[in-house]
Amino acid sequence: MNTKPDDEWLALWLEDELDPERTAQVDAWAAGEPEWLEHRAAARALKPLFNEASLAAADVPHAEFFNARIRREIEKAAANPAAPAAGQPARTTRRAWLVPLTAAAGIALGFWAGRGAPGGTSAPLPPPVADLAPVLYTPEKGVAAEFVSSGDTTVIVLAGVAALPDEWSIPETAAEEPETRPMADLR
Amino acid sequence: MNLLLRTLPALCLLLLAFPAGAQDRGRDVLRQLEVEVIFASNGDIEAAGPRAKELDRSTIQQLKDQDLLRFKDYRLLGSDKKPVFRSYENWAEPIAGSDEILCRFEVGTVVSKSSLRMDLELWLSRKKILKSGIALVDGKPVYVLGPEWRGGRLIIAMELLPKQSS
Repeated sequence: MNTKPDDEWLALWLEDELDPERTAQVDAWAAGEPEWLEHRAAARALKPLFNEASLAAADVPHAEFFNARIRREIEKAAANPAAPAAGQPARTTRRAWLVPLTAAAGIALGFWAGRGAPGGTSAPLPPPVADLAPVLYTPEKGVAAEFVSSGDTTVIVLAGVAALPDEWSIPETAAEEPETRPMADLR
Repeated sequence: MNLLLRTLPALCLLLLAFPAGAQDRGRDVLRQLEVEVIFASNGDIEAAGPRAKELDRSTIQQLKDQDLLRFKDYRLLGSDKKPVFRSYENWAEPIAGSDEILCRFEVGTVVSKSSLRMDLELWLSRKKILKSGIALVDGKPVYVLGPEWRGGRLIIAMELLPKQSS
């Protein structure tokens, strides 16, 4: 062969994957091409390294491996249905009904305890002292409130509140019985 | 026996769906709140108008015992008594038929058998003037020295009463 082989032949020749007949032809051409002989020598030197690296990837278990194991376990269980599953004690199946029963009872008990016993007479816990301190807030601008406690009597003094107009007076209806309101007088 | 065991979970769930009594405990009445509007004046007490009523002597004495609330005379303009619910708010309308003075209240904390920490709001002329968190005790009123009116001051008295108080 006097002409240069095409790139596909050369690529396969470098990898020693060309069929013998064509390899002989390319060898004949490469005899006068030391540069290409060096290329092939380098490729041959690297090949074992690539093979080592690719072996690890090839060793990854295939999905079929798992499927086969599962199938084998199913077939084993089907062949001997009376035998308990591996690692599971036989008594579990006999008392399986206890699981939902216990769960339901536990939920019921939890709700009952959380709701508190109906009509319970337990005394309420006193709140922290800080919670008993009076808190005053006046949303209207210019209005201030002051808390004054003297003995048993508590007075809140409002300052800056607009006076009620003198025209306002107690309406005539004030003397009548107030109408019953569903939300206000339930009991 | 087996039937009982099988139906027990369903019975438990049924118990949860329909709790005993199935009542709203939030509507339990814990106390009553009485709100009174008192006209206090050092001038002409008759300015309160013909519908104003005499105030009982014990209340007058209680007011006069306090420097801040000491006036020459007093008149009762109106009062209202409303239930205090465990979890719901309520409104007192001491001047019946008028929304000029209103009191909104709800329970904050049950302090003891005779005391509640309440959230109280005083509304004057349809505006919220005062919001307070304060512990009220049965029979011990809280007085608010409020706005001026006809030469005097309005005092709003709020007192916690037992549930069955008439």
